[in-house]
Amino acid sequence: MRPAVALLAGVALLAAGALPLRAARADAAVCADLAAHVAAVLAAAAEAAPTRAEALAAELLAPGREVAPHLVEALLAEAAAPRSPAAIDALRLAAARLAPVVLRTELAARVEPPPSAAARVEVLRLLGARGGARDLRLVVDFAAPAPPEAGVDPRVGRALEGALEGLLARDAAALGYVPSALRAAPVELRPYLVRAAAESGRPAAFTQLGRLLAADPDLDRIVLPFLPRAAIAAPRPLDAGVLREVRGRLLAVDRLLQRSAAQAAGALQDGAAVPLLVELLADPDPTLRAVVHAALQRLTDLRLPAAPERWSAWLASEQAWGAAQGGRACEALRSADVGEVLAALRELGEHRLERERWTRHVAEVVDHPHAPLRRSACATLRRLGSPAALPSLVEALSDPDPAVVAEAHGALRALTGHQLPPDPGAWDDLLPPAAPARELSAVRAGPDR
Amino acid sequence: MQTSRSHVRRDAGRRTGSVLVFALMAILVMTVVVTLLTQLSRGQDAAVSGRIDDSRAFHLAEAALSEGMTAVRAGATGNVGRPDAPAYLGRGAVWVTATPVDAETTRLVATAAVGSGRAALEAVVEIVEHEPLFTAVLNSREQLTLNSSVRIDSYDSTLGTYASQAVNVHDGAAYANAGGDVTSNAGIVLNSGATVLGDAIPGPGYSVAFNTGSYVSGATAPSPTSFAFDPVDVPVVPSTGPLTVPQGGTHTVPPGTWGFDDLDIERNGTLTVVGPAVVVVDSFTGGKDGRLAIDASGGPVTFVVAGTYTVLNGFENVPVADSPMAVAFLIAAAQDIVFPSGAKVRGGYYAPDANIVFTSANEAWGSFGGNRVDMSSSMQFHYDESLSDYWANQENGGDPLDVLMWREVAVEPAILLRDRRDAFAALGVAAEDLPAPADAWDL
Repeated sequence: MRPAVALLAGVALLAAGALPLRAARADAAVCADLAAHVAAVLAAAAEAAPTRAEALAAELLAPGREVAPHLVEALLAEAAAPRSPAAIDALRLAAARLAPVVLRTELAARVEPPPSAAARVEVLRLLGARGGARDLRLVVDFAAPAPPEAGVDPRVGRALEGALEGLLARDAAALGYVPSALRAAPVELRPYLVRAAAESGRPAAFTQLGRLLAADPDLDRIVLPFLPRAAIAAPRPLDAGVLREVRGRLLAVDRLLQRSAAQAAGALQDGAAVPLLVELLADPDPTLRAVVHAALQRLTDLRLPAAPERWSAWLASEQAWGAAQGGRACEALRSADVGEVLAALRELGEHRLERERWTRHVAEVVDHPHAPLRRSACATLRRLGSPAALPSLVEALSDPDPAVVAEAHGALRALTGHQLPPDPGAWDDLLPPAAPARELSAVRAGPDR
Repeated sequence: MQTSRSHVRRDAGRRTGSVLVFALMAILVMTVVVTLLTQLSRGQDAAVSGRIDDSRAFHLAEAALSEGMTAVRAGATGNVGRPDAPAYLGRGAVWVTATPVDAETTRLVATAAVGSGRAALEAVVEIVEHEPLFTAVLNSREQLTLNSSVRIDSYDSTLGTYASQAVNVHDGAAYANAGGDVTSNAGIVLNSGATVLGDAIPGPGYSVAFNTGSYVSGATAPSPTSFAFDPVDVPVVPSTGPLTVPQGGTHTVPPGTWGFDDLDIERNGTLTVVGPAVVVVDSFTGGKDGRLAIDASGGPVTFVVAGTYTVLNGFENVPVADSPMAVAFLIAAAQDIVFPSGAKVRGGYYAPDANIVFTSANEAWGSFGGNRVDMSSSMQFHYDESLSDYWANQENGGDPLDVLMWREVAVEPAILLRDRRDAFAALGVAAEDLPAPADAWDL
């Protein structure tokens, strides 16, 4: 018995050892078959007209998902050395139809060694068309300069911009991955990522980029200039924390950073930055003074000369009035006496320092039952010149009194520079949206939390 | 019946006296009629002559108005002569009175008197300041990203080579002048280590972003207006066919305006163009190691390319000895303009609808304006300051003067209309004492 058992055990052991070998041999055979299949289709594509690309793509995908590695390999090879338009088109179409997780796996396996610039351009186009938030890191990996000291290849840079734009437009959650992508990205790719986030049109981009200011000082000089672009789509009022971070950079030792911060403060209409900017008007750096002066003019709509004493005097008088009379004037807006309300509107319209604050109070009068007061409120909002007035003015376009509508319409045109008709629907696109809660929470739930 | 005969005899004597009177009356009437007819004829002659003179005066007034516009273009007041000291032109007397309307606008009234003819024309003209076409080394409609370690400065090719002017040092590297401005209608990004010795001016509402180690020596405030990337106006110049410089061959294009179909400088070929010259081509191809030699000692050289611009490895634009590098390529097509690896690029390039790509290891002296400018890392750009002197943005066909209004007006002083003597007599001047219009400008 024992020899028989030993014999049986030996046979079993042999069989167990042979099975993986057989499986490997079977895998290799399948692999070779798939590679041959792809090669054969591409050989046919070399002679085919570009209109056959759809049919060729279907042929490439015929064996199933197992063909994915060979497909991606062939795509990169074809991009580096194109043979025919039909071949590259067929490969693109086929790759675009792979499941996202399959595509991601195959591409991730081919980051190192870095393929040619042409191949990387192809990958970035593919990711831009099909990728999602989780592919952001892959985009960065393929866009990274190769070798590192070479800098960003111009063609790769352009493809990177397109990929980021597509990705961020398709998947709101991608914004949440931007900080981690920035940390992993080579220094040269950071401006691309920041710009893409800022111009994504996502309401949460402003807050997301603002957090980078607080988290990473090295990014300040890149992020600050893009904050005004991000603010275009941000809900109002703007994130106070971000504005505070911008103001903090006004006192930076780095001159370029100071300039960027001054410019950003003006573009963001941050009234709280005015006292700091007035101080900076006395800075010995003429370039900084010019930027600060421009920012003050933008913030206040006042055309005072770039003389620190003029601005200081104006600031002191505004601060004194705000402290002593501002509250009273705002209270008077709620008075039952029409004359008192009118006087308060007139008075508030002359004070620009806290114009966003006065705007919020004056905007309440746009709903007043007395039409002449509604009209005066629109005129005051125009004089104050704060973008915070836009929603109330758009609402006033639906007023039953034509004089109120005309006043609101004139104010909108003056504040925005747009010559749209007095139709609320026409102005809706200019209003910053309220960020959908879903988007904000998607950003907050990103991998950096 | 004697009575009737004597009655008749008496009547006959009386009738003989009446015939004379009637005859005299007839002669008188005829005289008056002839005189009237003569005067009528003379009057008609005078009227015809007057109309001819008025027509001449009209044309002289137009010529005088044109002279006034020429004076305004040249920066003069536009006044040409005066009523009491007119200019002499076409056997008549002319003068132009200029009245400034505002800083850019002038009202010109040109009056002409020739023979008995009188005419006056009024025009309101405006001087339009055309911005130079090449004001920065890089000018893009889309966002401008300066790749890592790119360096930008300026020099003046009329003063010699860049190397002879690069005597200053910044951050351990030599440079010539700090006038290497970069501009964009959108934002500007300086990637790590990029250095601009000049201004970096983004478009309205945009900013300049600085990556680690980047630097701008000048201003960074956004421009209040965008640069108008006006399309290239391809002039209509009759073509003499294709121009091909064969492999290793040479050819020279003398000064003037030239039209060719395709211009092809084959491998190792050299085309020399002597300025001032305008060369209009359907396409431009610079072959491997070919040369475009520019002699701009007498004036700039302008290539207007309606179609594609292609250069291969080793092709270069070079100045002939002591010539400034005053050559500009105005490219109308939208295809990418790609400078191959290692290319040394000289001149001004304006391609408002095309992207300009410097692939790798390039260096450039001149100015490059296009829809988008992409570059490799560590590139060096040297703005040629002399380029801003030659080419203006081609709005209004390049004419700085815009005619806003033109009409006929009443001749002043009004007495000239009543006094239809010879013009010089009516004005009380001697023709031989009057200057030519070009000599009668009031500067």
